[in-house]
Amino acid sequence: MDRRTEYESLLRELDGLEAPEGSVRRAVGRRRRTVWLLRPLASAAAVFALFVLLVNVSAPVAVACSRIPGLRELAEAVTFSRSLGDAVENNYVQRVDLSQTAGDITVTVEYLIVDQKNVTVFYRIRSDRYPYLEAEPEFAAADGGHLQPSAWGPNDWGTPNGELRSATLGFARNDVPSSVRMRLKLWDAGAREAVTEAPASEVGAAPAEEPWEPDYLAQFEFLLEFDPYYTAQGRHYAPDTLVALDGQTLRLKNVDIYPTYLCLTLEGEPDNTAWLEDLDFYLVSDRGERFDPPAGGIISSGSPDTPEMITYRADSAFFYDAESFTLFITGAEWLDKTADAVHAGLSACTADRLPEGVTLTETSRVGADWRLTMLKSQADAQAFMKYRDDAGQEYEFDTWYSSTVGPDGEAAGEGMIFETVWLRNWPGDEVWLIPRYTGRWMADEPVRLAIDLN
Amino acid sequence: MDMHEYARRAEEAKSRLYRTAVMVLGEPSAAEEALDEAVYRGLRGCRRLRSPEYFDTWLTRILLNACYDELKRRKRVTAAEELPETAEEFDALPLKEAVRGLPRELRDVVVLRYFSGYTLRETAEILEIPRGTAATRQRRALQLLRLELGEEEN
Repeated sequence: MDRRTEYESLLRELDGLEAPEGSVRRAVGRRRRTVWLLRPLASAAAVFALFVLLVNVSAPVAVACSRIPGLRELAEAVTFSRSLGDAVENNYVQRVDLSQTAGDITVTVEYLIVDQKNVTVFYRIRSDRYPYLEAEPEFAAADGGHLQPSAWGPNDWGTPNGELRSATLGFARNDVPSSVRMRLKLWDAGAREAVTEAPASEVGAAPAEEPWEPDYLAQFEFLLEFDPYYTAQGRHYAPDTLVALDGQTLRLKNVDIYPTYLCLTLEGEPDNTAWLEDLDFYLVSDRGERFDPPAGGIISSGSPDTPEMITYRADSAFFYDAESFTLFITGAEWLDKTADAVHAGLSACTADRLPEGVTLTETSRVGADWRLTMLKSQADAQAFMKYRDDAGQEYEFDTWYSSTVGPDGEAAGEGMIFETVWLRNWPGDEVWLIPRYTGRWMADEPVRLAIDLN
Repeated sequence: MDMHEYARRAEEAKSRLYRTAVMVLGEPSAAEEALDEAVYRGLRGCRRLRSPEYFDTWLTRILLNACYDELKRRKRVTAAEELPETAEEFDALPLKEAVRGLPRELRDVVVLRYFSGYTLRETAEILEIPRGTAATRQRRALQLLRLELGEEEN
């Protein structure tokens, strides 16, 4: 075949290609997730809870679900969470039947999975007029006021109308109250085609501009009342055991096992030279089952008295008959107790003594704000949660974005991520960033700690 | 440009973008990844696009960058290909592979001009190069591919 004939054949081949559907919808959903990051973190700031968004990606549904035909759809909706999957498999579900209609849109709330600390709400949206609607959940106290410090977020994006969606509300120190209000703000995602799969998981994305607000079509508000049987569920153990790692000593004070998660409470000993800021770990039961930190929701929370992060969550062992666990600690982040704030020059994009592995890559004046972007390892959580001015006045960041793409579209690289924060209404040209951690330790071999539950 | 207008225009442009990505990357799965990435990057930046008449060239430029990011990512996990250098080596390859074997600056021009249907002016705009440079690259690419196609502006 000569080149000309080959060229014409190739053009015909290209003409026959069908462009994949859903790029625009996936982009809108991904863009939307950047806005979501703000809300749970903002609400969680008061308790310094680290909240990671869940993304509901398709996964095989456990065969066991077929034993509970009525809950099969719910089981399919919780494949993103092992703990919720176990809860459904064990019929640990509060059924509700709440429905509201506004114009062409009907929302029904159908199931709750709730325990002492967590609420997951399952709802469905139907509309003949809008083929693809996204929902933004917010939670408030039953009287409409602020909830106790808590964090929340949606568990899925790109769910077709008519299918179950969910949102999770988590409490770090307080317990779930007897009732809460859930507001759902709906907007038209504008997709032309039916959605068949959820978008790929990602941590988030750094916008080059302020979070974008959609035009909301409707708002629904449901009062969710919890069965006290469920909100009372949880088991408490107090091993009070010491473990040494990286020259510091931690005391494992409590192990709490709720139906939707397992929680370790650890505190550093007073003579430690650094505060514990993050912990990489997993647990293995005496029966060989492994429990890892959850894929999303609250993953850790802080002490009310010190900068230390003291609670760490893992998938729940509530529905397993474990009598003991081995805790395997594989890494940690530390904040030196003597660490100073990091001075940053904003116009010059300079910073001294950034935490290990963090680079300041961009500073931009955006209106009255400054935007700062840093490049760091994906394994590390937020580098800074607070900042102060030259007079020593402290402020908390209210927005973080994490992205594999930088402000100019550049790729972060393997294992790296861009983190963007905003200094709100910041007139000055310098700032002091208060580091959340100063160093990271990774174990050559996991440090083991036996935990007896008897 | 607002998000709704962006979504409409991106939807219209996606077939042409996809075929461009297929020509640059070779594999439909990689092209889909690059298309998704480009549409997303475009959405992030669409509010800064002040002149809607440049939408197609602007989004195609973003797509090409996404394609080369995807190519870099894939090269990290697969062995680097040995690229042809002479016209004889190009001859030995099917046209699709020969195009992908061209140096980037020639490949971009030939893909945009002869497979995505952009004019020489649009191609130069997308690549942010003078029109004369685009014409020179186009001529060189066609020589290497031994492909006799009209070089005139259309």
